[in-house]
Amino acid sequence: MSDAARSPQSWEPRDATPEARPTSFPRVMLQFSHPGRCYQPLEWLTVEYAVSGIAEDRTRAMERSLLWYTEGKGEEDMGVHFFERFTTQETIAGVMPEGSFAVQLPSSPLSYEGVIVKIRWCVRLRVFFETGRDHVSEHVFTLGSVPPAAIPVRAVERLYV
Amino acid sequence: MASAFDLCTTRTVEPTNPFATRYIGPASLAPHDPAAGRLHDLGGLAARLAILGGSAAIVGAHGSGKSTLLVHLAGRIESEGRPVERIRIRGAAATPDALRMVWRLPRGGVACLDSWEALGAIGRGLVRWTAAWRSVALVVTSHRPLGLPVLVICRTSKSLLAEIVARLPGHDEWYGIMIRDEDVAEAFRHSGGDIRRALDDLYDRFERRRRLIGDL
Repeated sequence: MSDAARSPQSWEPRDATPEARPTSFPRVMLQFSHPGRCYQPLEWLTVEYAVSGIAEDRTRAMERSLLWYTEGKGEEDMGVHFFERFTTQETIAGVMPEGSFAVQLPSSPLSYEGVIVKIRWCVRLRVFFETGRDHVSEHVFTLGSVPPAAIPVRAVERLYV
Repeated sequence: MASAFDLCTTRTVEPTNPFATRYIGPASLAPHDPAAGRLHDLGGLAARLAILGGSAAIVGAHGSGKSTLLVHLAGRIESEGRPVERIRIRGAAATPDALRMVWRLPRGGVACLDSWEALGAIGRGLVRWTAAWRSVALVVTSHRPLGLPVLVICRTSKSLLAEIVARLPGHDEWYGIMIRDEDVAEAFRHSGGDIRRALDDLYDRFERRRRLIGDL
C-alpha cells in the first residue's frame, strides 16, 4: 500500500457541540526514513515532519512520541516507547513547524494484523494551542514482519461481495 | 493521552477498521439524541440535572448510548468547575471501588456510575447512603430508574446508527465499498436495536471485506 493511500484521516469525534469544533485542522506531513514504513526490531527509525495550518493559533506545547496500541474489538492496550514534550517558546521553535527525530526501535511487540485484534506502531505528534485546543496526528508504521492472520474460509463465504 | 473528557481534541488517524473499539468507544462517539435529530444538549441536561436535585439516572436499553452520554455529560459538568469521577461497574464486587470514589469526592462533587444496576441492591443502597452523607451527587446509567429520577431516556433507531457510522474516521473513503447501506440496515436489525452490537457486527463485515477486497 502506498503512503498516499494510507494518509491519515481527519477526525473530530470528541466535539460534542458544533460550536466547539475548530474551523480548520492543522495538517501534519510526516516522512519515514524507510519508504515502505517497514522496520525491523532494534533498527533506527528516523522521521521528518512539517506542521501547517496553525497560523491563527499560538502553540503552547508540543509532544513527539513513538508508541504501540491495540486496535480491534474489546479491551484496548498501549505502550509508549519514546516520549518528549516541549513547553517553552524556545524549545518549541526548535521543533515546530518542522523537525525530525530518530529513535531506536525495541525488539517487541511486533506489528500484528489479526482479525479480532491488531498491534499497531505509530509516530504521534500532538500540538497544544493557547486556545485550549489540541491536535493529534498519528502515522502508522510496521515493526517486524509477522504475516497477517487468515480469516476463516466460512466467514468469507458468508459474505457476497 | 487525551482525557476522556476532552471536547476540543482533533485527530488525524489511520484506522485499519473504523469500527474498532478505539473509534467507537463511549469517549470517541458524540452523544446523539435521535428523538431531536441532533447531538444531545449537554448544557440543557446539566441544567435539568440541577432541577432534579443533582442526582439522576440516564435510562435505556443495551447499546442505546447511555455510557456515551454519561462520558460527555461528565465532561460538561467538570467543565463547569465541579469535581467529577467516573467508574464502570462490572458487578457487585465493584461496590468497595464505588464507595471509595464517592468518599474521595469533596462536597458538591459528582460521582458518575456506569451500569448502576450491576452493583446490586445492597451495593446501590450503600453508595446512595454514602453519597447523601457526603453531599455528593450521583449520575448513573441503568436499564431502569431504580429509585433515582430519570434525567433522559436513550433510544435507538436505524438512522441513529447511520449517523454514527457517517461520523467514523475515513467514512467517505470506505462507505459504499467496505460497508453499504444494506449492511447498516442488517446490522441494526440483527442486533435488535442495540447500537453497540450493531457496530460490532459492522466491524466483522468490514474485516471480512478487507480480506477479500484488500485495503483501500
